[in-house]
Amino acid sequence: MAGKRMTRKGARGFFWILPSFLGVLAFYLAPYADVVRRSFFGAVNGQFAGLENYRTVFGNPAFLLAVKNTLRFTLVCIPLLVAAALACAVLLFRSKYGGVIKSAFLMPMALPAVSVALMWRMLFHPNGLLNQWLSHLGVAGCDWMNTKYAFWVLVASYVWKNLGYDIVLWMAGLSGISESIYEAARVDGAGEWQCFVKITLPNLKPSFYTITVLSFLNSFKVFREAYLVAGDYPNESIYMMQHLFNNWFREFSFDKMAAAAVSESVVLLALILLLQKAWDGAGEEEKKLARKSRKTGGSGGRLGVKRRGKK
Amino acid sequence: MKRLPLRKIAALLLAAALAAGSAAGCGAGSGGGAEGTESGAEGTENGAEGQKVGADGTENGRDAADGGEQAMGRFMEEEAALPCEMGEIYDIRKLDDGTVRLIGSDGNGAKSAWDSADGGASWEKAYDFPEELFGKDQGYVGYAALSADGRAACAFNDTADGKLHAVFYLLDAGGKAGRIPFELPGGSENMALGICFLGNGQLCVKDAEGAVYQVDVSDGSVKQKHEFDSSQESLACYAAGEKLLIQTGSEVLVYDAGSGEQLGKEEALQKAMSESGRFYAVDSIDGGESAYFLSKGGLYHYAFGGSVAEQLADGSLNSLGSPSCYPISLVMLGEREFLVAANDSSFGTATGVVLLRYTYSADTPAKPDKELRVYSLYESKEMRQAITHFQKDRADVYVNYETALSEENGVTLSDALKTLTTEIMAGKGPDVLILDGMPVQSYIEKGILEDLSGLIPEGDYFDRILSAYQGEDGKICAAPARFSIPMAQAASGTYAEGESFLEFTAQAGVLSGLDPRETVEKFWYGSGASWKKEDGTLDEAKVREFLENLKNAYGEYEGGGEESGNEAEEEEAGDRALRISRGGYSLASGKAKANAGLFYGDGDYDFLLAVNQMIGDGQLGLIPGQAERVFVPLMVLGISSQSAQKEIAGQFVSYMFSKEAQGFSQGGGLPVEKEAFRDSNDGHEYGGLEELVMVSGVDEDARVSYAMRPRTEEEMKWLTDLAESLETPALCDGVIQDVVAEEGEKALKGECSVDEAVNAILQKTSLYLAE
Amino acid sequence: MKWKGMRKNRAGKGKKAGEIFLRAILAAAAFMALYPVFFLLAGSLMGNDELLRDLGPVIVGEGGQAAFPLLPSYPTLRHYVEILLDTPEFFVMFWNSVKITAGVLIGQLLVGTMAAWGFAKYDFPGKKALFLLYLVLMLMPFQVLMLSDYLALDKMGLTDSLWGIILPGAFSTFPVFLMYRFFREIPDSLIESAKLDGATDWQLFWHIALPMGSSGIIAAMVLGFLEYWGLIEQPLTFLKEKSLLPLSVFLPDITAADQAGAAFAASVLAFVPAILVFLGGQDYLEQGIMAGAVKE
Repeated sequence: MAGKRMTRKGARGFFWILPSFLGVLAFYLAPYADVVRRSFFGAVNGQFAGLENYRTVFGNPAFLLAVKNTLRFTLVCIPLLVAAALACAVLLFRSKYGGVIKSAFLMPMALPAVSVALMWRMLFHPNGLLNQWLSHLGVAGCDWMNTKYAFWVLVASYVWKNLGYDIVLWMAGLSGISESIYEAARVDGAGEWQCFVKITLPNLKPSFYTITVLSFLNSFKVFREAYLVAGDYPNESIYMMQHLFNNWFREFSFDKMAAAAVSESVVLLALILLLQKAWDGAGEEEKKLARKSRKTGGSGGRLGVKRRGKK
Repeated sequence: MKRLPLRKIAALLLAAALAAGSAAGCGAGSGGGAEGTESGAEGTENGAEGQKVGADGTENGRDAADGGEQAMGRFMEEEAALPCEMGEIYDIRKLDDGTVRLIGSDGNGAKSAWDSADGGASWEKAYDFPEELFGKDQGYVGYAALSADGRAACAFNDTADGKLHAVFYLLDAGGKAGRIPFELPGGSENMALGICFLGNGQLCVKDAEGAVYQVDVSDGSVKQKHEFDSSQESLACYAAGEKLLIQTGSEVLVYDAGSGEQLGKEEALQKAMSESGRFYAVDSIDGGESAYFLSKGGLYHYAFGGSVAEQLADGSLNSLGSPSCYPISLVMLGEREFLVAANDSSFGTATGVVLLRYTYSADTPAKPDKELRVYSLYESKEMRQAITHFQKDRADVYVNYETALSEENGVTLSDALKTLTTEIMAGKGPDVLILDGMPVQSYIEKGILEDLSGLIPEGDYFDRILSAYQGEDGKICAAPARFSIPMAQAASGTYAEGESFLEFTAQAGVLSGLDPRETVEKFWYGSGASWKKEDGTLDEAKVREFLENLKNAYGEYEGGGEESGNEAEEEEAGDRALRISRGGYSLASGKAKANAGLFYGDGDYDFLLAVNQMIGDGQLGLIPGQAERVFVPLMVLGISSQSAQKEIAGQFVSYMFSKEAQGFSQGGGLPVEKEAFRDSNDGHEYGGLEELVMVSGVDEDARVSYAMRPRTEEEMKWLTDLAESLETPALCDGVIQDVVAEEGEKALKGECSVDEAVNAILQKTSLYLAE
Repeated sequence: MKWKGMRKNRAGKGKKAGEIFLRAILAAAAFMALYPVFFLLAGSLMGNDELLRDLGPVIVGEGGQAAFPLLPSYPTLRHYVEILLDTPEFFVMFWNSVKITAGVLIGQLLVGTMAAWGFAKYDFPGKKALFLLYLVLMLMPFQVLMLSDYLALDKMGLTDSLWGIILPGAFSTFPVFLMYRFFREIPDSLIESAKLDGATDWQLFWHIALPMGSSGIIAAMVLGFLEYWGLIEQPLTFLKEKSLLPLSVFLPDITAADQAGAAFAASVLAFVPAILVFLGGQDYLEQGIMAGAVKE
């Protein structure tokens, strides 16, 4: 579509983006270009190193561990969060007190990272609260942050902090599904579960993309808490890319850092393209569905929900 | 509350010095309580100092507008003659007739008044204090003050009957003494902690309870009383004509001496104080319309009711800002010349008393045109002292000393290093780096540091220590100016000099009762150097051997006890907490079987030998660790390869290795220069003096008392040979040290098994070493 | 959790019991989500003695286990007094936080909305690629660009200045992404008819995009507020001058026993503005997020 013809519209479109683009250029793109340049040069002396930095990085055990952990974290967390949030959203959507409970879930989002870190220390210290509760239950505790459980603490913290956000996102998706489709299905004798699988899930597909991207974005932020609690060298199960970047930075290893960063951005790009492709596919389907639903039902989802809630 | 133990030690030491000093005429540290709080306040002041670079921003601005010409005119410092070798100066003042009068005691404790008709260039004795009142057996002079008409008042602490009794004497201009019929409330619990004469002839006395009295010297009646409590502690009182100034912890209060009423808030004065710290001395030459104030920030002039306190002399460019400088008294000889009597150990006088003269030089630039940035993670008093002296010789250089990790700013080591990294990369980093606590090896590899060889002046150094960071290519990119020695001490049955780690730690429970974390750290210093394998990873067998044996030597952990909290608090002091002297008390009192730690010099030797004597057959030697002959490099100097002023940086580094700079000794480590090393340990300063007895201790049952005397030739030879024999630099790596200390502590406390600790150490350090 | 619930429902028996069960689970989960907030609040109201008694094992590493009752036995406002009256830095930092957050949000409002509008409703060559670029930059962790960012800011003379935090924040691509999705929602037909009426591009933006996109814009602002109110890495890297640091990096050293209460109180005080903005903007936040998420 683009490039077919340079209309006046085209030029104007870029005008809207120009101020933002200039800023992005100065504060993000130019620095990024610098990072790319650095990935081919020595750290401080500035000598051309070719692909040497990339070779060093990919042979570096700390880097490989960080990549492994970051991948593992992403692969565990995002599906978990997205699924848990969907479950809660479905449940809350039909609940009378949904609004209140949802607000409660949203609360952790507003807590500053330092406060969360403070909490963590209280909870997961070897003499901390969690171990105390466990001892009441007759379970032996452990030094959570210094064992492999640290990973799960991090996962829990991430889910805890972002659950509300994702619930809202899912609920938004849910409210977009017309009630009439459900009614039509029920007339056909479909059960709750069938409705969920056959109607709810397919209709939520487009939301899925946004939710995944945002969840992914937020998964980086968990580093703050991990760093504030466990410092530069946490348990190896939560040693993330950012830890490594931080430590490299401190020791002037800009060569390795740049090479790793460029590699990471390539992966990010691939990931986004992949997601977008999946999403574009979903988008087509959804448009069809939406057209169908518009024909059958008029009013928005919200009214329908309330009606049903009162039943 | 938490800092109590250190304070306690300080107070006890001072009290001891007082008790002993009264006999020897060494009352330099008079006023125990007040001194304690003062040094406490100092830490906070230093922080402020780093920020402030000259207060006359306005003036500079104006000059810049004049076409970029430099502002000219600066007070230049020189040492002025004292009447004789002084033990103490009580006060110094310009009298109404123009004479400058000084009262104090000479090296032997005889107290006199001297006059100078030529502004302090030469002195003539005016009178002696009557021996029958001020003899050594009677007690000691806490404070004394001069009035503009030549009278002197003296707060005398009478100890004749074994109890302290504060009495006040008035000496007329000729030295005839009489008692002032004024008593402080509180009997022997109370004494004067500062006196001064007000313009109206009244004597102002600040007591130990924080109250300030205005006393009529003729009949001893109290004319005014100003009370303060702990929420607003009064630290000192000063006079400016008819005005009484009271320095509290947070501000300067101004009172009218006649009515006793508090005058305006003097915002500008408070502002100057909040920027530069408390004032130490005040003088006025216009009857109190305006006054001159002395603080760590330098000399300020302030007209009461005015809108600005003008900084006349910048303390960061002379001795006034040095941490070793404690001004006693300020005398303005005119608008362009003043004298400061101070206690400053860095001038090398026997008692530390100096008289400094400041003369305005109109053709010297107000601010040096070159700035040298010196960056350090930790504060070092020796460094500040050295900077003061370096600047004195180089009027064109301003040394900006920056310490990243002060106690209160809450910046972590990692954050500080990151900031440093960004600055160096942006080309605006410091010129000279004090590398203590930094990843030195990594900096050298990355080419951050310049080669220093050739910068270190000819001299007699401990060469192996000096070349601790010499690379294979012969380059010395970092060199320690100081060092400490991990040492151990115990009765001869427990420890013998030269004993190996395995032999020593085979004695189960030999280290029991010591702080677990500190114990791990101390022995780690003696062992860590042997841990690194060829491939850069840690040797698991060594780590295991270390912890298993240490655990055996440590035995069962007996719980925190009341001191554990304090111990944790003192970690802030960094490695100084590992100082070997701190463990001497427990060893002496039998609470502990052995003592280990870092030997920093500066009194450590006297103390350890005394402990050896107390436990009978004490042995002192290198710590039994897995590595042999270990030393800890301190004040490791490096020059940034990005520095734009490598020449000056080089001169500065050279200076740091000169005999003068090496000779500064404030507990920051042993000098690498041999003569300075000797001077700082041989106790020569006690030579010729009557024997002083130092009593120190944390509490009643852990007290060590010993005579302060010069060390014998034999003792010095042993120590020098020991230092000479050192060859292995300790593994100075903050990351590894933290991990080992943390995990080791858990293992010793029994919170985890040795296996778990070893695994945790290896796991965490392997990440670090792999990066 | 979800599947359990679903199975119960599917079973169809005791639908009421099932509902109650589900609600109980949700309520429990909500409590867990809220617990830390209570915890901080309660901790901030406890005296030092009580804190030391309950949290001593964690704070100073004494033996024994920490305990934490939900309510302080002897509530006291001492820590708040300590921070609000005796800690002048607190206000300096608070004010810095306000400046940073306000600066960033105003910038995003000006620049971000325009860009989002441009991306949403205009076509031009390379738009897709550019948007992709925005996305990738949005997902780039701060650490990657840390040094180069610093050097760039340094060249512009923005280091050690709040502008060094505000400007990059204002040009963040995240709000563009959020608002873009929202502006897409506005029906093309509406724009077409406005154009037929002779509306200029600027009028379209002013009279259609901004009002119709308001909840999306507010949603982006609320998220932006939370993000920049809690900023940590950037200030620590770019600001050296202590008097410029924002509140988010203020956490008294909790390992010092007498500081724990202050740390709690400081946490709560930093939380208050965030929660106010959050509660005020919650509805918009939901609507905003929803609109973006539903359709494409």
